[in-house]
Amino acid sequence: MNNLVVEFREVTRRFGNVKAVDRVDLEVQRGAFFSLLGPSGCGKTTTLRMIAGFDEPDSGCIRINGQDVTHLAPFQRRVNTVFQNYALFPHMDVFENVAFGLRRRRLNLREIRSKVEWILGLVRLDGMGRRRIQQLSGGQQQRVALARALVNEPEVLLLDEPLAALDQKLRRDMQFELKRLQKELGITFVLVTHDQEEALTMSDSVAVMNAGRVEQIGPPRDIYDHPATRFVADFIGIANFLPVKVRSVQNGRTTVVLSDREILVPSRKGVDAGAQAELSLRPERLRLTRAAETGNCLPGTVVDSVFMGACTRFSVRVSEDHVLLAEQQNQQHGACADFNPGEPVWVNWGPSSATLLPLMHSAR
Amino acid sequence: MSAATSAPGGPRRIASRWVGLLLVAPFLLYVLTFLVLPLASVVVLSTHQVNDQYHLEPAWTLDNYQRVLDPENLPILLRSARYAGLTSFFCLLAGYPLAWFIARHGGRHKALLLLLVMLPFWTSYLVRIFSWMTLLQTEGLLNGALLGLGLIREPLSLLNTPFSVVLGLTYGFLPFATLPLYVALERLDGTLLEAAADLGARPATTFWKVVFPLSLPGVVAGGLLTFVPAMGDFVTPEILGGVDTLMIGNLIQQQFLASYDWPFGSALSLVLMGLMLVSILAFLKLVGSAESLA
Repeated sequence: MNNLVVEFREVTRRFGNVKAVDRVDLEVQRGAFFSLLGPSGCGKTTTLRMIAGFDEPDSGCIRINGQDVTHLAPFQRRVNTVFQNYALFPHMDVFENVAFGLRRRRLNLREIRSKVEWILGLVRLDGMGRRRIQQLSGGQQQRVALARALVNEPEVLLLDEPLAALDQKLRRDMQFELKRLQKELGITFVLVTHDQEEALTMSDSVAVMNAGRVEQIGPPRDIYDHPATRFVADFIGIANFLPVKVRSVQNGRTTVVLSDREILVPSRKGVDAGAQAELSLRPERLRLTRAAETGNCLPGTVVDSVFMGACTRFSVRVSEDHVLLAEQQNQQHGACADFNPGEPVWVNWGPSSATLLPLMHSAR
Repeated sequence: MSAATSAPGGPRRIASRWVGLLLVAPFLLYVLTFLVLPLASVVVLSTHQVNDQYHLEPAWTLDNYQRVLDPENLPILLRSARYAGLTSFFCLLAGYPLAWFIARHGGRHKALLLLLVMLPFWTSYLVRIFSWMTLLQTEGLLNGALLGLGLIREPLSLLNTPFSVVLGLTYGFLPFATLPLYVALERLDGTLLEAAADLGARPATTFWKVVFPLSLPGVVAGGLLTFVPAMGDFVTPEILGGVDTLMIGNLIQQQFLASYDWPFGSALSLVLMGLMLVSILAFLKLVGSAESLA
């Protein structure tokens, strides 16, 4: 229990008739890098704002460090936020911005000075204390915003799409920096992002949200390899979906029928024999061959190929309604990545490479 | 393109210069006739003096300016500054919450609420100030209500006091403070308030450390826009004030309409103008530094 920094119990927040956050349960472990991932309007920012105290749930309970904070004001919580637009105070210099939280805690000037200096060093802004905010670049402002929040050593640091305004290269650097800071300080980070790559590369744990609900929580690898719903499979990376009928379930393996062929996939709770279901296949897990092989395979015809540098992405028609994307590594000899449009091929994959999805989640 | 038309100083260029002059000519003429000439005549007039036959004669003297500082005149000038300062202060005090409410909580009704702030302008200022008379006089509504409630035994003498003059001025110029405050507060980024709360600031601290400093341009503008007209006003002290609440505007009016001492009136006007000019320059400097902060 003590290892949980943030807990949501059945938290709901309505705006008018819309449930922005709908009966959400969350647990964030101490010291974790936790991401809230989802498309815009999925409720991730509202969730973050409720941790900070800017928004109050209509029902449910929020605990920080075991203490019920559901109805506490932001200034009563030991939580700090890095805002999307940074929200730096334009009438103060870098030092005063960073010292703002420390001054509210009435530390003496010597302590304030040493703490500000320490944190500015940590975010690599040594000696910039007297700069005015308007003189700083976007990346530097970002670091001031980070320093201003981190200097208070919060229980949780909340980051609201902090990298969205930065260009590609700077964003990469800042991702690395954030990870480094989080490790060095051991502070729990909760990051809101719509960028799945950002969430996957940085987080220890990811909550994928959609329409106010948490669809899945887990380590990035689990979320990618074993998506819980069609939405998750579709939102994270690229997925091919194929409708199947379940024939039998045995020893953790399920046999499904796809275009009159029997296919072996990992079993899934709630998907029983006779049910209609869906198969999710990642393009990079599919292997194209000219000759049929044993195991899971489907015949098809190449309709298109796109050279992508490290790999080539083929579109393969496997039935009237379905075209699969398959990515093949480009090797020097080119043997396996050399198929021409119109050529008949076999699509192969291992028995654990597919994910079976119950059909009730495929409403979208 | 032919060389003749594109050469610098060619006929086309000269023609366009004449067109430009022709376009600004009406305005220049207007400014010359109604601003520069009258102002120059006031300056000249202020060096005249009144002779024994009550005629104006040129004297090329600065005596009239000297008289502004006389013991019977200087207190009036200082009183005007005091009343104008108080008016500014109370306008800002009342206008700030009003502007805050409209800017931050007005929602869809912002335009309507601003219109309501300016609604009094649709009625003559004179009428509105007279209505304050009926409110404040000894047998007026306010005294009537207070007597009726048993809060006072004798009617208060509210009219013809510094209180009634500053009240009237504050009432009259309140919109001039509200509008610039509204502009400053409207463009205040709301996430700054959240950031302050996030960093542990209670609402009062957030106000004094973040909101107020960032609204300073509006405060300074509102202060000036109320101070300047209040300083020169003569209608309000005329109607709501008494002998002890004369302001410089009344003094000027007297010189022109009652004692026919136009030279002294002109000198007073120019001193008033100079004071306004100084306060406007000070304002621009203040706004400059406030702006660079915001």
